[in-house]
Parts: sequence; structure tokens; C-alpha cells
Amino acid sequence: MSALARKTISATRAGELVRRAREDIGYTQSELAARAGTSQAALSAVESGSRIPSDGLLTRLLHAALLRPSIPLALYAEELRSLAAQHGLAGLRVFGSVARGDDGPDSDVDVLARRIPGTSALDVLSFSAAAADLLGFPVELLLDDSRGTAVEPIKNVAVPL
Amino acid sequence: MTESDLADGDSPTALQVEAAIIRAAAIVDKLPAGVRTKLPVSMVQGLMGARNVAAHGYAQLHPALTAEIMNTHLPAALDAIDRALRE
Repeated sequence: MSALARKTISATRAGELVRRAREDIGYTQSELAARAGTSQAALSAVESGSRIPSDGLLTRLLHAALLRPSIPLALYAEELRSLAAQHGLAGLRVFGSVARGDDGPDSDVDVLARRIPGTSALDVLSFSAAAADLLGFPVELLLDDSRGTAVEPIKNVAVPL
Repeated sequence: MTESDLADGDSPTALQVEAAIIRAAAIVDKLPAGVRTKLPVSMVQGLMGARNVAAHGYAQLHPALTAEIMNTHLPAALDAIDRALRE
């Protein structure tokens, strides 16, 4: 969540993220506001996009809502695919806790992707950091052409993004 | 270094290369922020990404990618670090 708080995001997007996180955990606006040390009116303004939350408030809200990575992953899926393409990656899939739906606030995002031939190794491998900036959670990248006994089983359970 | 040098992922060469990538990324990670910011972002983030894959242990990069890192990107990174430190 720290990366998210540092990231400059629009009021609308911050509000949408907070709202989805709140609904995911099942809190009312009043409950989340109390847990985050703010007012229901302030939270309502954030969720509606009429107020840009400070980094501190956004962090408190997302922390109090126990934001898990599957929320920004769903919200920013299209951007993530676009980002992946910029890094020479295609065929994005997720595996691990996010794919199973049992991710939590401390989970990372495990991504499986296909490397587009001719792309620089550093461009490919810098995707994790760029994706973590977008999602606000650590991203682990596994490539289809990686070696290891775990790779094939992961391919079998990975879920298209 | 060629792909064939890394064909056996459990060979001493492959393990040494993984160790070198992990060590190089650690060096970059420990650079003072003022020096690290002089390096290309993709270089820093790419080395960190390579380190993460190497350190995970459950999967290895394709030998072609590993060879590219060793032959092209690590030497370039060391040169860039040298230049950044001298500035």
C-alpha cells in the first residue's frame, strides 16, 4: 500500500479504489471512516471523487479496509496489460493467492507472462517494479519459458487476467 | 557466455551466474540514492527483477535471457555505476 500512497492518482481513481476495498471488506462508510480516523462525510467525498485524499488519508483508508491486491488488479487490469506490452510481455495470467481468491493485505501478485521475442531482458524484468507501482503491491514475474519443476504446474493453474 | 553454457540449470556455472546476478543487484540496491538515481530506471528495476527471479529458486530464467544479462547488461551496469560514482 505504500507505493499506492506515493503514487499520484486522480480523485476519481482513488475514490473508486477506496470504495471497492470498503465493499470488499463489507464495511459501511461510517465503519471505515471510524477505523481510519476520519469522518463519514470526508470518506463519502473521497469515494465520490469530489475530494483528493492526502497520501496519509489514502493510506489510512486502504489500510483500514484491509486492501488486498485483487482489488487494484481488477480495477487496473487493462492498464496492467498495456504496461506489460510496453515491457515486451503478453498473455498475462495470475497464479497463487490472487488467482485462488484468498489473497490478503500482505499478499503479492504472482504474474505469469509470455516474453515477446526480441525484447531486452531488462525491459522484461523491470515489469515487476512498474507493475508494483501501478498496483501498490509487490509483483513477482514468472515467464513461460522459465525453467524449473514448478513452472508447468503453475501454467496449469494460472488464470488469464 | 552462451546459452549452451547455461543449458544445465544445476551446473556450477549456472549457479555462479545466479549468484553474480544476485550480488550485482544487491550492490545496485545499496548504492546511495543520489548515485542510484543517475542510473537508467530500467537498468535498476531490471536487475532487481532478475535478482528476484534468481533468488526465488522455484524457477530459472531462460538461458538466453541470463546470457544477455551477463554479456550485455551487467557490464553496462558496472560502467554506469562507475560513471555515476565519478560524477
